[in-house]
Amino acid sequence: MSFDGMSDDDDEALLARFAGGDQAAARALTLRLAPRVLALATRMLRDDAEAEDVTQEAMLRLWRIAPDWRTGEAKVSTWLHRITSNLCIDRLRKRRRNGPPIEDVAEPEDPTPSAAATMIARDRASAVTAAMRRLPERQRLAIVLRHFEDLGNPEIAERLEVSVEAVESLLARGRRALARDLAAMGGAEA
Amino acid sequence: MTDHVTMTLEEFETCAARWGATTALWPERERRLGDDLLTVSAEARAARDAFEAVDAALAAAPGDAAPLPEGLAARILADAATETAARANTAMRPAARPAAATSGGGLLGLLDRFLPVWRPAAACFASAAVGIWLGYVAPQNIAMAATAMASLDSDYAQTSDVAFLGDDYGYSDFGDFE
Repeated sequence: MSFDGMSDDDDEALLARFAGGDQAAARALTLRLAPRVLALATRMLRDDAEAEDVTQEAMLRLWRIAPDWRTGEAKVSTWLHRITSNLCIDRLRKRRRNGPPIEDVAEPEDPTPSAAATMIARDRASAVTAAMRRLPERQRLAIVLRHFEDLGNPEIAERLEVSVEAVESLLARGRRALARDLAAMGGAEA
Repeated sequence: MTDHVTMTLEEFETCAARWGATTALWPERERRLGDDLLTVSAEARAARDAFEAVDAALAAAPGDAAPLPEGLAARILADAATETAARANTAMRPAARPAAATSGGGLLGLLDRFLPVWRPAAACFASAAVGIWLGYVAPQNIAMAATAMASLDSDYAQTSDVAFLGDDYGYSDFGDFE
């Protein structure tokens, strides 16, 4: 199913029309697909400008593959999200290029005020979104790919280039941190 | 034999963090131990509630971002237009080796289209024909050339003074120098 509730068949039909030169199809695809791409990139990168750049790059790759797209082999939305998450992971690795290997970096404590304190007046769903932005990078990536992209742990492990056990550990630590934030929010609301 | 192994609160939290708050989704052994702990531990139930809240909040978190920024949408669509124009230019550019320029129309064109191997096949046949011709004709020419050379030698021997120089000086054989 596509992001707006329409079928992925429609995405493929629009892509085929764009491959034939139909710019209206490009507009429709942009409206349907780009917001979710941007959401994913924002969650993964925590940087609005970089997330926009990644969204533009991912959509450009979609335009380029359009003439060669093989109908029925993959969902357009799934393909696009895979491209997006890979682009984000590449950017995160570049940020660390001059640092130690990603596996050796200790997860830093976030010095900013807790999400619970800043999101006290908002609902829990919004609070968890804010709390996720405070998670250490790899925990956040694992949570995003698991809960927002519906990927299994082996697929997450493949994308992050870590073991499945490491993914389970990242998910566990991420959920613990979210639970702490949400519990604190509950305490603050009481 | 009775299994007396129990789960600690920390282990329970680790399982909840790893697999979610619903113990039914845990591996069999952990599920059984976790359920046992839930029946006796208020702290375990509180931990379960906390992780349930996380799962619920993640499930309820908005999937879509705010509306696409105007500038970003414009850039994406500009890329789409650029790609379309680039493909159109590529399609209009003449091919590097158009078929019509190499084979032309008519019979050769048809051969190129339906029997593309005719050119190498014809080249092989031509090579073989030249080889057979050389094998048949050349030996006769060589024989004729040998006959002509022998005739020339004979004529030369009859007319050349040099050929009889030895006789004139009495050098009939090399035995005279010994």
